[in-house]
Amino acid sequence: MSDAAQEQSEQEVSVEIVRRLEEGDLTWDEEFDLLDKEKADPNRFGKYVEVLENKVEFDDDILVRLNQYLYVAHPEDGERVVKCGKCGHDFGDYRVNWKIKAKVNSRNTTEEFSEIYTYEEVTPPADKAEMREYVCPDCATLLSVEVVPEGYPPIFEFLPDIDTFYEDVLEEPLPDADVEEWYQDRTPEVLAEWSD
Amino acid sequence: MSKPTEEAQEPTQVKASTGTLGWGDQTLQDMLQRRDKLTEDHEHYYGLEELQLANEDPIQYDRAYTAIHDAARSARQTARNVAASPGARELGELLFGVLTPEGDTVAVSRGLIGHQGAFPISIQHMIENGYEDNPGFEEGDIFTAFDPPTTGTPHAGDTYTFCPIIYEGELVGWAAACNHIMETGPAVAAAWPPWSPNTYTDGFLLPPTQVGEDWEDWEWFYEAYRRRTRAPVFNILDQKMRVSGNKMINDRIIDIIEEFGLEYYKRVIREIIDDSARAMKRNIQDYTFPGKSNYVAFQSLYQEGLAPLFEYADRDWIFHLAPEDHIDTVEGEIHIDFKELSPADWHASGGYEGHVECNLWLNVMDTVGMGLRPNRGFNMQIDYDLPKGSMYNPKNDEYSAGNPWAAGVPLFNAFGAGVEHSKFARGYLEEAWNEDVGWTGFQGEIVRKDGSREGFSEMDLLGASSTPASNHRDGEPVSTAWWNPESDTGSAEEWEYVLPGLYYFSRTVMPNYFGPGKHHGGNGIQIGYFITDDIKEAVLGKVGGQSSEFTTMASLPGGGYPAPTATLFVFRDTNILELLDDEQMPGGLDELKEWIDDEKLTFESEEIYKEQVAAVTLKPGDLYFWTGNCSGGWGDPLEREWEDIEHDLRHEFVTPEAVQRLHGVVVEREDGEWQMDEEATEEKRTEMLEQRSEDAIEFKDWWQDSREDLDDLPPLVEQTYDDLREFSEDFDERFSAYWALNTETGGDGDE
Repeated sequence: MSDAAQEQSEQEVSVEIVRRLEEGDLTWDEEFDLLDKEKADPNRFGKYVEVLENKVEFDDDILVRLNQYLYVAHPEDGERVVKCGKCGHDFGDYRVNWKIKAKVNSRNTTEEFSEIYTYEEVTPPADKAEMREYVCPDCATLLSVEVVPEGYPPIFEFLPDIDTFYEDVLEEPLPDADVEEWYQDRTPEVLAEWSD
Repeated sequence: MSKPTEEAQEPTQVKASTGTLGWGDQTLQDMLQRRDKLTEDHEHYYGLEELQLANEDPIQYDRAYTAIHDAARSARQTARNVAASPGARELGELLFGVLTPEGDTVAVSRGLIGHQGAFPISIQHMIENGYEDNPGFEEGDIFTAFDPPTTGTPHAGDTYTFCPIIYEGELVGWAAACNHIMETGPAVAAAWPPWSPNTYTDGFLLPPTQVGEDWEDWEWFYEAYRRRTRAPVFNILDQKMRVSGNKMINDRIIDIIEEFGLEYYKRVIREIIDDSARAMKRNIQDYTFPGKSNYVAFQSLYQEGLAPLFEYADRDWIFHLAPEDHIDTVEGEIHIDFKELSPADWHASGGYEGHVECNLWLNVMDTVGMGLRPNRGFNMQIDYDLPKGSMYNPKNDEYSAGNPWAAGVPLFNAFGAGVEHSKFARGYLEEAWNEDVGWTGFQGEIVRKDGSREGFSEMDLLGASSTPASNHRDGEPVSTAWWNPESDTGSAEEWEYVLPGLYYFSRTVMPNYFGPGKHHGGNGIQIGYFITDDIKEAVLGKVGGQSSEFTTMASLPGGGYPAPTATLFVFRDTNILELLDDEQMPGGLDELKEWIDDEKLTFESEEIYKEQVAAVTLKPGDLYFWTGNCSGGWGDPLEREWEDIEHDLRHEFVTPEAVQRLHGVVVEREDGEWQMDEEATEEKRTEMLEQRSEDAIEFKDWWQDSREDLDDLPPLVEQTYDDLREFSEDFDERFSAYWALNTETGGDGDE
């Protein structure tokens, strides 16, 4: 094996390790070995998607993971939707903040905050703050929590630029690629419809 | 009192110099300009398109870096023992660095590593203001600097000392030192005053100033510390520490130049910097997923009623700490847009460019700084738009920069959260976590019985934050500090002998004090003190990134519950001294509350402060208790595994009641071991999931109800949105769009 190939082989992390990392089954020493590597594990994304596609409750290809439970799925060309990995619930177009298609439980009182934080003395100010728990409409998994002043617009934490990644990083453009069309926040359009 | 101006000030004009310390025929100003031009034109530091020395002899190159790095590291490890301040000796809240002649950092010690980003501002100020001619730079000269607009230091508490390194008549670089001093002489005793309406109430500030020569400080500078600060003994020794370390660096660099040769040294310091820039570019390319993030944090500051003399500052705020990250994986760059950051105003929570350069790089280092040498180079792949008039880019230098770290840390944690989210999307789970490290600081002054006073900042919770949760691992308590990766809380005894009259009755990890999730962030700490009659009184204040009153961040990459605020409890006129005479001490907040319920501990009155507070006067027999430094959760608490719960119970990180309440797990103890009742747990979890599903409503219904309530917001919240909508067109547009205001059925949200 050449030196370069040897080095590559030492840097590579197996799909099985990635799976165990995702499941939380690595020991600290094993995880430290990953952190200690001199270079990034090549092709980590491909291995990651393979692990995730074996884990989630829907069959579509995964384009990218959005958060612990949500994924941008690719049921067919021209359709890129957010899906719940636990139950497959479809939240619709990923360009629209999935939160507006979720269910939400709102906490506003010290008593309600204390159910989470135990000590009322460390809870957010009940006269100003609101805690929003976003849950999956089907399986009720807690997807995300916001603690904000009342009236603050729901946060859209991460909008991935999927086509730039597939085209310019992976060099495997998606059949329905169109950066300008896909990489935009369309949430306000839906909200505007609701006000009519 | 009349309001200071809010007009933009004219940029400073460069004073042309004629000095001879530059390389070849150049002045130092020539060198600054040449650096900027070559770096911009070639997109490499100083135009170095090839790392010639690194390529030709990598071992020699590594030896050179190691020697330079070691000069800085040794300086810190040795010089810290010169200091008396526990911050320096115990926490290692200091930094030494080796800089290029232009002020760019080549290598730094461990410690307050972010300041390597701000050092160049002081050097640039000196060069552009003609210091090369007046006063000139000679070996052994000592320049100290702590004035945020001119020196880059985030606040006066972080003090810089620079000593020129001269070789054969040329300036080959600088030895640089920074440490966080004990007290800075503001209107309210502090190192980070939370109350300071403008720069003139910030305390003792000094633009870059020569304060010594021949490696000896001038006495007038010590006199100034004695007259203008409340902790002169500690501050003077800190200055001596910085000079000592710089002298060590100076001598070592001269040796290195003689070993490697001057021409080699001149080139290698630039290659080392560009090498880091290249490594940073590769890291962003290799570890991130491209896209845009919008994490945010909120922080209250209550100032109304505290400053009637300063009418313009007599109000409250909620800060909107909102960076927008644009992650360009292809080019290996990150651009940050601060277009929705709160405007500057007359309070101590804002700052200047140096704070951004310093604080941002801490989170850059944590997120994409893996495996590289921290120096000026890794700053080069990140840029930002910071609107003029925003709270870290005020229009003029009259604004206070007393306490920028309190709002700054959550702001840049929000930036970092976007990068962590990106790494999580890319699949580097071992490298991605919630990024929500918090800090809490305590400070003030002790008044002795004879009326004399001493100021202090107490840093237990500055060196001991919890680590954030990741998708597969809990955070850990008392583990880390962004700004000082090798930090510590400091020995209790060290703090006690330095702060007479304030003694601990407890200092422990606090059960249940974190943001829950499938994995929770590390627990925070609880610390209790009592005031003895060794002193007359103590005037105390609480500050910190975690004293937000809200949560440390509004939401997290992991989606779990954000970490709660840090809280100060004050109990006045207690019987704690009698209890202590009887050798009884409560062990923590839970026990304190039990003793209160049992009337074992009595008190006259109680105050709770979730937010930052400037001055609470306490007398002998009072006790105070504070909590801080926990992190938030990742994932759904109902998914938490038994193995993790059992670990928490065993370490008393969580109580059995909380385990059931948060995670639906029913436990019992048998023969000293915790056991889960599987059947009861399954039932409980099913019940909680059903309840959750029942309580949650369709977002559309929630949105429509909330939209109607926009005309009835709490006054400070309404004022916050009004201020933001007036200052930031982007926020105004986003707010209007998300609430569909100015549509047929919407108003404009202003009524």
